Amino acid sequence: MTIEFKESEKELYVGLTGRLDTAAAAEVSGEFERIAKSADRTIVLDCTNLEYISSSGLRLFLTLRKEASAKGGKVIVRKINDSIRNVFTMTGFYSLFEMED
Amino acid sequence: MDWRKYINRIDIRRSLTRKICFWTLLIAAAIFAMVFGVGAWFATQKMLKEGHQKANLELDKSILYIEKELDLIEASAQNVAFQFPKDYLPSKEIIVYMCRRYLECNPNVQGIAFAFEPECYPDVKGGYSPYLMRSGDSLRYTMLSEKYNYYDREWYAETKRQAKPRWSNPFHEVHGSVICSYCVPLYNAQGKLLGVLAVDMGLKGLTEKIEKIRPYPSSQLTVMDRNLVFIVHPNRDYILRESAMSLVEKSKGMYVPNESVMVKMKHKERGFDSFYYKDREKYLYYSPIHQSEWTVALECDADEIKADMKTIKGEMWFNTAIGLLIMLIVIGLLMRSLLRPLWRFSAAAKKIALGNFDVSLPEVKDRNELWHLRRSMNYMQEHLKQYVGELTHTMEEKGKIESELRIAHGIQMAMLPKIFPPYPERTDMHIYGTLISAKDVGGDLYDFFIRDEKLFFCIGDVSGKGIPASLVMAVTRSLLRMVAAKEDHAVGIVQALNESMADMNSENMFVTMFVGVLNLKTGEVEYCNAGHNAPYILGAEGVRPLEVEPNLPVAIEPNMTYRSQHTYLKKGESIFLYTDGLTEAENKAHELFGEERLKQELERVKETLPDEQLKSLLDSVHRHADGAEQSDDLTMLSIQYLGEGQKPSHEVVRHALTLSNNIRQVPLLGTFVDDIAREAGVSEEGTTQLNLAMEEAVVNVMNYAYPEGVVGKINLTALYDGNDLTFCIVDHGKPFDPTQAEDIDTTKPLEERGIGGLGIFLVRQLMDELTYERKNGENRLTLVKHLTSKG
Repeated sequence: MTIEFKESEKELYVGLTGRLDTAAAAEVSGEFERIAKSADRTIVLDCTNLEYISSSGLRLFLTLRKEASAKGGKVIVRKINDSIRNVFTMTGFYSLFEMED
Repeated sequence: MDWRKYINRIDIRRSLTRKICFWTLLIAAAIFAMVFGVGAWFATQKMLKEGHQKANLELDKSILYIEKELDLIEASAQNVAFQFPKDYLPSKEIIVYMCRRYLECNPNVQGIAFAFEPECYPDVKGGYSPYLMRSGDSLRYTMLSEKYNYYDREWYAETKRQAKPRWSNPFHEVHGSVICSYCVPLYNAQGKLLGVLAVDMGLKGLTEKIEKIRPYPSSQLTVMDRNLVFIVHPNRDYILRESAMSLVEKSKGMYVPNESVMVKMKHKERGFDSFYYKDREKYLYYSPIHQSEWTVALECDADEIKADMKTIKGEMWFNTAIGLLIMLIVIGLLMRSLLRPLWRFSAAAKKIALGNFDVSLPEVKDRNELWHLRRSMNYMQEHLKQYVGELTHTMEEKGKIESELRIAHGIQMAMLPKIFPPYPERTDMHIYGTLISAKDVGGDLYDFFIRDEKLFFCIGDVSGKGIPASLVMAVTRSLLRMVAAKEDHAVGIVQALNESMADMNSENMFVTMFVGVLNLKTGEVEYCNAGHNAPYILGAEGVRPLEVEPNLPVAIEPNMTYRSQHTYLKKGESIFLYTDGLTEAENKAHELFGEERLKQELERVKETLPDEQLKSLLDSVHRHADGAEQSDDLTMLSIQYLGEGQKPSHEVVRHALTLSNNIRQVPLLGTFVDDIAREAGVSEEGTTQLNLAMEEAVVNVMNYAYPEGVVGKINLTALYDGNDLTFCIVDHGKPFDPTQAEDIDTTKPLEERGIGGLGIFLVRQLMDELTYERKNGENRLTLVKHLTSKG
């Protein structure tokens, strides 16, 4: 699991590559806390290269979404694959995030 | 025992005594011979010298005798001549009277003659010459002029010419006997020659006298006149007929005194010469008689002179031989007495060799070689005693260890099923197993038991040999029984064994195993191989090796995922398991029994009962080994299925995995799920969903089953039976039933959504069945996915 950051005034671009399973989620939770500090802006989570997500990954996304909501920012989830879209649909996350193709 | 021959008394005596005697005698004989040779040479020289002296002495004796005879005649003749009147001529009667008177006074004279010049007694024709000579006891008178003209004769003419007394050449007197005359010229007062007085010396008498001079038996003395004509010679025919020169002429080289000898003789010198006559060495001693100008020669046989030397030589040889014989006896006795202590040492050494180290050694007083030998033997005794003591101690220790090993072997063998047939009441299968240890304790094992109409069986081979291997074997066997009591699947048993043993494997030992579970109802064999030789399936259709996954042996890698396999045994088919001690059985030429031979043997016994199969195989292994010691255990197990099994339409696939409660191990789960999903033919999308569901379920267990900081195991099995894919998650943590969790409401707005509960929710969404069971202190969570489309 690798994370790529691109920061500008208005938005923070976060590129996610690989599998975000339970083990990976534990590894990158620190990174997500850092991202949460920029929650007053627009955060773009680019999921073009994200292959897989588990509930731990979903929880990281949800925590970030709640932080943004509190600070007045927003979270855009960009380009998820079909299986992740299925999970998002199943869990109702699809309606919680601003989805972008 | 061969060494006894080497210390045999007779051999020692022979070699040493014989050698010393032989060499001593040889050297002594050589020295003797040398001394003898030199001595003999000197002695011969001495003897020769003495021989010469003796011969010369005899020669001188004969010369002296002849000279004495000559002197007597000379003196008497000169006396007569002196008394003969110088101023007148005596009458004939007086002259005859003088002659008669002279002969009467000189018995050694043969005869006497007065020969006058013609003018002295003119009345006698041819000159007055009365000659009176002895004839027997009487005297015989002869007038010489009546017989011959004496004026021409040598004795008269030469005396007249030389005008001094002299000895004539020997000649035959008128009556035939050989004489030599001393001739004295007679003068009157005016110095006119009147005639010659001749006094005869008979050579016969001289010859008889000097012939007796004979220093050696065959030596001969000869006398020669001034012309070297023989006067005295053992051969009478030679006298006055032969001379030394004529004999040399006649003998044509046989009688060869040197020419110079003749010259020397003629010159009247004394001398010696040696020559060979008829292959005999002769010595010739000669010397002149000056007054008569004769030569006396003594001829001796050299061998006779040296004869004494030969006798002496013979005596010396005899004495030497006696001396050497005495020496031989003395040395022999000496050696025997010297070697006597050696016998005692030899006897002592024998006793030491037989283990009597305290035997007393013979006493040696002198500090000689034997004294050193005794010291060395003493030293040897002490060290042997010490060494054997240590050895005995070591052997006792070894004996103890061996006895313990035997006990260990007994315990080990007791762990294995030994009573065959083990299930005499069963008709649906036969089983037979055998284990032959190479060493007292080995690392092979086999086991079987029946539970729930399933035959659990196993064969294994621990790496290494001896006690370490046997300990690991015992542990394996114990764990196997423990694990198999709860676990239904071969793969689960292997998995559990691997975890337990890999954890406590400090010595990096491992076990190759084959575990199988035969369903006695169906003939299905579920099996898991851990690096062991593939078993063979035997039956009417032939012999074929069972397909096995190689997998790693047990106790190497704790996180190893073992793959389960399965097959079906038809009625009458056997599964034959073995360890490499069978295929690697060696004969004395180090040729292996080998896989090919095994296959041939199995082909022969493929339809027989298991006990016959194994006994037949053991026979052929023994034949092959032919008494060679085996380095590895030999274990075989054969199970024949005789039930009416039914093969289901689809094969069952089983996998197992064990994880600890650490989320870092989650990626291992991914591979595990991917493998079973691929074998069950699940789509990529479906596989992702199965992955997600299993991850959520397992992470849930990881998070809740064990307290924080406690390490626990989570055992996973996956089974695909052709319809359903069933996952089973087992842990020994606190009771926790995730099925009781309430579903989350996915329609709630963001602010009301809780952060938890997502995992179980996803599992429920993704799987078709989710059941929880708490049994024997275990949490068993079963997840089922129906894969066949039901409408």
